[in-house]
Amino acid sequence: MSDEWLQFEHAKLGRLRLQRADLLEFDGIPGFPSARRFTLVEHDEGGRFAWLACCDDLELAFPVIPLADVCPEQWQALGPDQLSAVGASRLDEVEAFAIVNMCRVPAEANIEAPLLIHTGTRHGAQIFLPVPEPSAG
Amino acid sequence: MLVLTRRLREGIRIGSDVRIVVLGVSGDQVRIGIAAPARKTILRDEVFERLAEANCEAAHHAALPDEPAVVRATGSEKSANP
Repeated sequence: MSDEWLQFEHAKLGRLRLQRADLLEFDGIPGFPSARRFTLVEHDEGGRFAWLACCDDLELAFPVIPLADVCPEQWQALGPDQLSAVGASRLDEVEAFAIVNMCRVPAEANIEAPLLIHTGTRHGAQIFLPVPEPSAG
Repeated sequence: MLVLTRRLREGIRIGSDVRIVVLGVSGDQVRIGIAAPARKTILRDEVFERLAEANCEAAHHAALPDEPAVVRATGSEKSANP
């Protein structure tokens, strides 16, 4: 069953073809409780950006950027409490992305609420990781 | 919405794996303890609503015709490509 191919016609990204095993499973995302199955789609080959495309709502997609690219400190701040949200215990078990808000100038990456994806189980979650206040002086 | 009355140190179970206990009451503030599996996301209402609003804005303006040269990290002054 896991090598079954799935095909979706996504309103923003066109035809998506992927294996069932490559689906990412989220327990909903704040604002989109029924969006549970996603896939990552490269924006440009070799580029920094990707799309987290929803396979349940074919009009929904988030532009994302690797958290380590936009804020290495937040990537390094991921600890056991955050990793456990996707059943991981080590940083090398996960990928982390920040959702990019393109309607802001410059575009803004939400490093406060990164998306974690367990690369083994393909389970994903949006977590809350407060950004430390800059220290004075 | 289900409404229950609980006293100090009394609790509520949600399903078989979530327990909520009243730990303290002081004026109009209630201190509650939550025991839940690590995979359950627990957020204050206002934080959840802030995330939902940010997600909706990002999703509804999702267009990436050209990669932006600069991406500002929300909440900090760091840039991906300064």
